[in-house]
Amino acid sequence: MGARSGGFRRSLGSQAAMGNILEIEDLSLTLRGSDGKRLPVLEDLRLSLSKGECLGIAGESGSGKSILAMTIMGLVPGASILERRGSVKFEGVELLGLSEDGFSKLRGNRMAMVFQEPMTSLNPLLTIGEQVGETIYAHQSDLSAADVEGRVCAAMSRAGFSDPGAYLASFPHQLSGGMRQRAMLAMSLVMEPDIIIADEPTTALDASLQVQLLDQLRHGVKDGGHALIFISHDLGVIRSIADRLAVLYAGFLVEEGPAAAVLEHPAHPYSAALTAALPRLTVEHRLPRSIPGHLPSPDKKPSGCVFSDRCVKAQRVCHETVPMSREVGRNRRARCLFPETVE
Amino acid sequence: METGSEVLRVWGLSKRFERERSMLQHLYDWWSGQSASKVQALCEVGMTIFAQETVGILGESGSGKSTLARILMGLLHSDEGGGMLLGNDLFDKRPGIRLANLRRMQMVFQDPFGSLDPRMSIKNILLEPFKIHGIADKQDWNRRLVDGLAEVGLEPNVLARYPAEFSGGQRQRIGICRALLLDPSVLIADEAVSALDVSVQAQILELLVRLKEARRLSLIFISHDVAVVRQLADRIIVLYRGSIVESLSADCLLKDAAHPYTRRLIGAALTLREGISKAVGVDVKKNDSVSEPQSAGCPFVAGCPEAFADCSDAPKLMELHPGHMVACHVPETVRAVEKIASLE
Repeated sequence: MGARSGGFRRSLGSQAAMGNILEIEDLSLTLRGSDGKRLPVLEDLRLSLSKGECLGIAGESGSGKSILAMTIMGLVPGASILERRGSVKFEGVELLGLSEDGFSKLRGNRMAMVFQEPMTSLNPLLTIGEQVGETIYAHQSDLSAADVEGRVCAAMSRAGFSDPGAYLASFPHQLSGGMRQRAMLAMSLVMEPDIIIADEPTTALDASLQVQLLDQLRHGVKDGGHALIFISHDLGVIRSIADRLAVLYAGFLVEEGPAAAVLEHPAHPYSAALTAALPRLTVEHRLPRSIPGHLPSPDKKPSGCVFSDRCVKAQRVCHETVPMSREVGRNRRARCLFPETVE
Repeated sequence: METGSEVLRVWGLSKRFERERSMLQHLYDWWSGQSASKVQALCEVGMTIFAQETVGILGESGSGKSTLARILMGLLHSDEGGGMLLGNDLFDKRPGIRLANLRRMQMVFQDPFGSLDPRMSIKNILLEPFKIHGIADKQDWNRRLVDGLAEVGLEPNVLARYPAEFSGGQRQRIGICRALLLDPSVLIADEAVSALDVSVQAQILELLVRLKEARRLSLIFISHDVAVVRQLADRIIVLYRGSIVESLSADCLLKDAAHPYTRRLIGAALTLREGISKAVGVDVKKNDSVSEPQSAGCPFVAGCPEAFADCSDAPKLMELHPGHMVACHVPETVRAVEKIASLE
């Protein structure tokens, strides 16, 4: 059953590959731990991203979501990698094993990243104008200073600065948290990249600022026809921005599908537990429900299904067999032997 | 203690901080004859906490919520105002009374990484309250530590370990254990779950609620998260730029919130949590984070969609209904949030 549905999916995948800008196939990554321990951080990951799409990646800390982003961006130090399998294709070009020169041409230019902490990711000694413009100089050194400034201002206004010119000469410490995060967003937009990866970009901000920034991110991305990978542990935030949602647990992609559908009718018990753990506003007197136990560390994953030791529905077979990812509904896949029926 | 009896009352708490300024700016101030400008972190805040009640203090960054917690714990001195804790003057600085106050009111801190000394074993961290408060029975200490740890769901074997060996959720359990070892009547939790992942956050919230019931605590739960506060608290106090703008029962929050700022918070939370946008008819995108607060007048005037001329006078906190206070000249008395009610 598993093999048959796997083959069916594969053929679907190659058809869909036409419009896909990013194709991740069977990606596995094992890092070298201290004293040479094997740390499998990503296991058999299969994901794709099409143009103009916003993919949300959800998971707790330690689920592998940031390492996935860093693998796509080529930021995982080669020395720490013990084993790597599968492929990550960006417009048909294989990224795994691409040289540092190759990545330098892509990063900032075709793929950009918005990091979590604007205060540590911005250089305190350079002005905002210099930092946003730096990316342009790195990829197109022949532009005049005036052209660069024009493009910097355009990117800044798309990132939500109402008067970009006034902030060109500001240093990061002179800006509020929300402004700094907008400056980071401007840096990622300035070269009109095909893919923007945002790793928990709004977590440190107040709710009303988060709403503003998500709005700017969504417009910045849709208007420019970019594709967005939005990483967060907060399903609520993902719901408000993502078209499609992928849920990671201990390095496995446990569920994937249209964001609203997955959040309303989760098929995998982990996605269900994660939605129940979210504090709700419109529900009377219901404290968020916790998930018993804790996320296993990469070297101590349980045998069988990786969620089996915390799963309320786990049966004996779950502790013995690693479930394959399979179709559970329209455009939906889950890695579970006993998924909830959807639709 | 009886439910409904007063445990803690504070009034008129104000605190101003001096702005961080360079030498040159100080010279300029001196030369131009100006006094250095100060930031009003807290402005005439008063509240009463009753036995076994959970009060949620809701505010974004810069609202003064942590300043308030630190003043209540005596970690900061307020410029004005006073308080009573179970019949004692809360701000009496004589060591005996201060220690007695601290035994009655303890705090769980926001940052599970910064609030435990990395060079002390868990045992030494947890023994500190006993040592400082001179709890004499040394042969009793170990039993009390083991009991305390069991209460927060930790094994006795954690005592010999160090903070670095624990995850954020476990550290927060240790922080809660430390706060409860002295049997306080009031527990202050300042953003105690905001540094944690949602699933761990849910575990700690469950723990707090269970402990609060078992120990008949009054809980002051400080957070920026509307949804968490709404589910946990009996009563909600909303702080904005150091002032209380609204205070109401948690059950009425969605339906009756009358201050435009509270409604904006709810709107933002609905967008983020439930994917409902524009539910409250308040423009959550109106940006007031850049502008400086006005020295006089309503603190929310820059961000308020309904501000008019009168708003240059600071509104007083007034009772709208019994148990519902609001500081606004134009509180939303009509059910503007009916849309949300229909979602429930």
